[in-house]
Order: sequence, then C-alpha cells, then structure tokens
Amino acid sequence: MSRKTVARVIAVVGVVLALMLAGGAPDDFGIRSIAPMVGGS
Amino acid sequence: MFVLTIVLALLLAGFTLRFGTTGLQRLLDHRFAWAWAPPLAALAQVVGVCVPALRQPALLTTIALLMAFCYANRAQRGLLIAGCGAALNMIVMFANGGLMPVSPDQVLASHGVPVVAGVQVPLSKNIALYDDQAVLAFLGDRIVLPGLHHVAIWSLGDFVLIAGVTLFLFSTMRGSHHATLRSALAD
Repeated sequence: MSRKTVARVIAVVGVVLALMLAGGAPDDFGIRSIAPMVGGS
Repeated sequence: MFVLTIVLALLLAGFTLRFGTTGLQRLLDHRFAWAWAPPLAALAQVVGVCVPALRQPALLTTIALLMAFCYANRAQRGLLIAGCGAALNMIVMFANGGLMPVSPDQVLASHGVPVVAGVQVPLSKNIALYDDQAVLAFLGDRIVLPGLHHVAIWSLGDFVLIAGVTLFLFSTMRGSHHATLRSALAD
C-alpha cells in the first residue's frame, strides 16, 4: 500500500470517525477503567 | 468513545468483505466537503471534557461544525441522518449543562460500577442522573442491547448516528447504479 493510499485511508476514515466521536455519546466500557475515580455507595 | 471506534471498524470490515477492494477504493475516492469540520468538532468535545468552564461553548461549537458538515454533504443521505443523530445527542447534552445524562441504576446494572447521582463521570461526556433529575431524559443514554449490556449504554441519537454512517458507507462502497453500469460497459 503506497503512502498516498495510507494518507487517503486516514483522511476518509478519520473524518467518519471524528463525526462519530463528536456526535455520539454512548456510555461505554471505558467507564470501567476509571471506576475507582467515580466513587459511589 | 472506544465502542464507536469498534463499531466503525466492524462496519468497514463488513462492507469490505461484501464489496471487496473495489468498494474500499470507492470509499477512498470519496471527497467530503468541509472535511476539516468533524475533526475540529471532535477536538472541541475534548476541550469541553477537559475544561469544564468551556463545556457549553465547546458543545455549541461542536453542534455548529457538525451541522455545517452534514449540510455541506447533504447529497449523501446517510450523512444527513448521521447529523440528525448527532443533533439529538447535542440537544439533550445542551439541556443538561453540556453533559449526557445516564441513569446510575443502568451504569450499575451494565458495568457493575456504583455511581452517585449528580456525579460527572471523569473524562467523559456523561453525568449520572435519574430520569426525574434529567431534562429530556428519553434522549439520554438509556438503551442497553440484549447480550451486550456490559459493552455500552446507548442513546437514541447514537443509534440514528450509526444508522446514518452505515447508510453512507453502504451507499458509497456499493457505488451508484450508474457507476456500476459504466464499469460494466467499460469491461
């Protein structure tokens, strides 16, 4: 795969991923990695 | 954020299997209008999460950038639908001080993590709020998929957003009817 193709993949997929990350807001399993900081009863 | 990255990877893998490298090439050939807007919107969200004082301005910036991007690319219906999903999320977040409400009961049931109502989940867009404490709670994170309860708690906007992205990837990687005809005639 040429550098140009790699750059194009990053550009296109990056735009779609950025759209999803900026517009989406699921509470995902990342929350468990910070569980000790969350506190609770 | 992890789960959305995985969803996109699965969609890309699935459509690449379905449409082959030709489909992937069609996607790579796609040119977005205002391609800089979504990365900037994502950056605004990071700023909003890291600097609480800038949460609402960052959210407004995100909304403006995403809506402008989706309008500029309105020829792609999938991106318009994705924009509607993002708007649903942004509306409920704006109504709740820039944060996405998630029920403490559902966080406990899904992740096994106890959280106190009113606590903002560190380094995330979420705030733990019961339905009677949240504004527009029905648009908040409250949907748990059967069998995937431990993965994520979704909002209605998340599903609309993913549906839009799925439609965009499908229609772009499949190629238009005319493009297929041209390709067949060229052969």
